[in-house]
Amino acid sequence: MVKTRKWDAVLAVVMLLLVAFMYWHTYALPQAGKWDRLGPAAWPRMVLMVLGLLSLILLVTSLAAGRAQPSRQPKERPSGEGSTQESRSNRAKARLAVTIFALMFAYILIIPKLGFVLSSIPFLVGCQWILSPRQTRLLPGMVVLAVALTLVVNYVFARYLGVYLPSGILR
Amino acid sequence: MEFLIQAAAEVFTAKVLALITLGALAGIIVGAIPGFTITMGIALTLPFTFGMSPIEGLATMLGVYVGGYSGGQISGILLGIPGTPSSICTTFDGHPMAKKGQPGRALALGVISSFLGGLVGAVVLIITAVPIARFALRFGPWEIFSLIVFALTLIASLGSKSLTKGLMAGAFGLLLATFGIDPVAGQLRFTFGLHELTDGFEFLPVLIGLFALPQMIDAAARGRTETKQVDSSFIEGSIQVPWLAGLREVLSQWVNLVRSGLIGCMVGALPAAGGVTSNFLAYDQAQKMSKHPEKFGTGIPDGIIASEAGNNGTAGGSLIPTIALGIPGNAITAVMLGALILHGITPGPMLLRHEPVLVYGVFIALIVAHFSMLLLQIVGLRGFLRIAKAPSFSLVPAVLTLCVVGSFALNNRFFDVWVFLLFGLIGYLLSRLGVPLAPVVLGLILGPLAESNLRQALMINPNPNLFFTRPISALFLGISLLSIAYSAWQIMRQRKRTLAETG
Repeated sequence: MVKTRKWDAVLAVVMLLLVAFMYWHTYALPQAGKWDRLGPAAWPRMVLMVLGLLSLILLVTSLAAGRAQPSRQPKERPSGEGSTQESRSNRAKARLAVTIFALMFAYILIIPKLGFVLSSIPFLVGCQWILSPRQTRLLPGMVVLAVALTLVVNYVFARYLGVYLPSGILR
Repeated sequence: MEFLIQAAAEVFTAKVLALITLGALAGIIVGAIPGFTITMGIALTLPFTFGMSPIEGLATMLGVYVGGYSGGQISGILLGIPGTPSSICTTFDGHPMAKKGQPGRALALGVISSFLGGLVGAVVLIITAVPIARFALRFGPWEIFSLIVFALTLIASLGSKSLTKGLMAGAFGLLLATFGIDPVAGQLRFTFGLHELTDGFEFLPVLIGLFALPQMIDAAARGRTETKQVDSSFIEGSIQVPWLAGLREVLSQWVNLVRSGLIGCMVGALPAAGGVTSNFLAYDQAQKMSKHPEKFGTGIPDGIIASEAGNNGTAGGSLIPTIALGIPGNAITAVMLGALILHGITPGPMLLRHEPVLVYGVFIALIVAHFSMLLLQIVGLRGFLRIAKAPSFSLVPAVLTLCVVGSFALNNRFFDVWVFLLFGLIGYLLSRLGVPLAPVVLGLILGPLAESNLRQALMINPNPNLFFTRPISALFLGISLLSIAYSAWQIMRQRKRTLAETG
C-alpha cells in the first residue's frame, strides 16, 4: 500500500464526481406529491449529501495528512518483507488483476456468440495456464478439468435448475 | 407449538435434509480452502436456490454457513494456514498439537467444539428471537427507519479501520439501492435509458462481484507467490481421529465450551462483528480465565475448543437480528435476507407473524445443519484436506465460471453478468483502497426498506421530530451517534499516539 493518502484523495474525488452527477440527475425526477411528502427525489438526495460530505471529509483529511507527514502511512497487511519487495508484489498483483479482468471481459463477450460450452473450455484452460507455473505436464489436467466442469455445469443448470445456458453455434 | 411441528415436517423431508447436507459439504470445502470465504460460498450458493422453496433455499444456505465455520480448522490445524479468518485462533493451538504428533486429537476437538458451540448459539437463537420479534412488532416506520440507520452506522463505524471509509461504504450501498423503481411512488430513477435497470441493480450479481472477484484475485496472487513452505507432512500419512475421546475431552471443559459458544453468539448478534471477532474474543477470554494461561499457544485443547466453539456460536447469534428484526448483522446473513426478498418475502418483525413456519424451519434447519456438518467431518475429513490443497490456479478459474453462470441464471440475461463484472471491478478497487465491502451490501439490502419507512412515517405524520421524540427511535439514533463519536474518538487517540511516538 504505497501512497495510501494519495489514493484516498483520488477515491474522494471520484466519489464527489459521482455524487455531483447523480445529484444533477435527481432534478429530472417529479416533485413531491400531496401525500408522499418526500417524493422520489428526496431520499437519493439525502444519501448523496451524506456520501458527498463523507467524501469531502476524506479528501480534506487525506490532503492534510499528506502535507503533515508525507512519508508516513499505516501498513495495510502485516508482512515481513521490505517495502520495495512489497511494492513489487503489489505491482505484480495489480498486473494479475488486470489480466483476470481482461480474461473475464473477453469471456463474457464471447459467450453469447460461441455459446457457453465453446467459450468456457478455452477460458478455463487459458485462465488456468496463465495463473499456473506454466509447465506442460500440468496441461492435460487443466484440459480435463475445463471440459468436465463446463459439461457438468451446463447439465446441472439445465436439468435441475431449468436454466439453459447459451448454446451459441452448437445449436 | 403447532408451527414447530409444521416446520419440522417441512425440514425433515429427504429433499431438505439432502440439501442441508450438500450445503454443509460445500461450506466445509469453501471454508477449508485458504482464501475462499464463507460469504463468497453463500453468494455462489444463491443461484442454486432460485428454483427452491424459501425453506429449502434457506436450509441449503444454513448448511453452507455452518459447514463454512467448521471447515477452516482443517487446513488451520494440519497446514498451519487457517482456511477462513474465523479459524485463525484454532491454528494457535491446533497446529502445534498436530505437530506434536496428535493431529487426530486436534481435529476431533475442533470438530466437536464446532458442533457443540454451534448448538449453544442455536439454543440462544431459539430462546431469544421470538420474544425480540414480538417486541419489535410494536415498531412503527419511525423505529424501523432508525433501527436501519443504527445497524448501518454500527457496521460502518465499528467494522472497519477507517470511520470515514466505512460510512462511505454504507452510503454507497444506499445509493446503489436507489436505482430503478422507487419503492413508494413507483417512479423510475437513475435508469439512464436502460430498461434492464428498471428493477435497479440486481442484488445477486452485485454481491458475487463484490465478494467473489476480489477474493479470487487475492487467491490467484497468493497461489503464485506462495512457495512450498506449507507443512505437508500430514497429507500422505493416515490420521486416526479419536472422536469419542475428543467428545469426552470437550465435555470435560464444558465451561470453556459454553462460554465460548455464548461469546460467539453475542458477537454474532451485534452488527459489525462476525466469526473473525468471535474466535479471537473467545480465545482471549479462555486464556484470561484459564488456570494455566501461559500454556496457550503451545498446543493445548483449551485454545482449540474456545476458538471453534466461538466461531460456530456466531451463526446462531447472527440470525437473531436477521430473523427477529430483519436487520442482518453481517454480509452472510445479508445474503440470506436477499434470498428471502428474491422469494417475495419481506423480512422484518412481521416475518414471525406472516411466516411462522419458515422462522421455526430456520431454527430446526440450523440444528440439523450442525448434525450434517459433524457427520460429513467424520466421514470426509481427509477428502476435504485434499481439496484444500488443490492448486489455486485451477480453483480460481472454476469459481470465476460459476460466478458468470450464477449471475446469468438469475434472469437469463447478460446484463446481469456485466453488472457482476462491473461490481467485481468496483469491489476490487474499493478493497484495495481500504473501503470495507460489508456495509455496501447492507446498504443495498436495507436501502429500499429505509426509504419506504421514512416516507411512510412522514405520510402518517408530517412531523419529522417524531424520529427523535419516540423513545425507541431516539434510542437507536442516539446509539448511532455514539458509535460514530466513539470510533472518531478512538481514531483521534490512535493518531495522537502515533504522532507522539514518532515525535
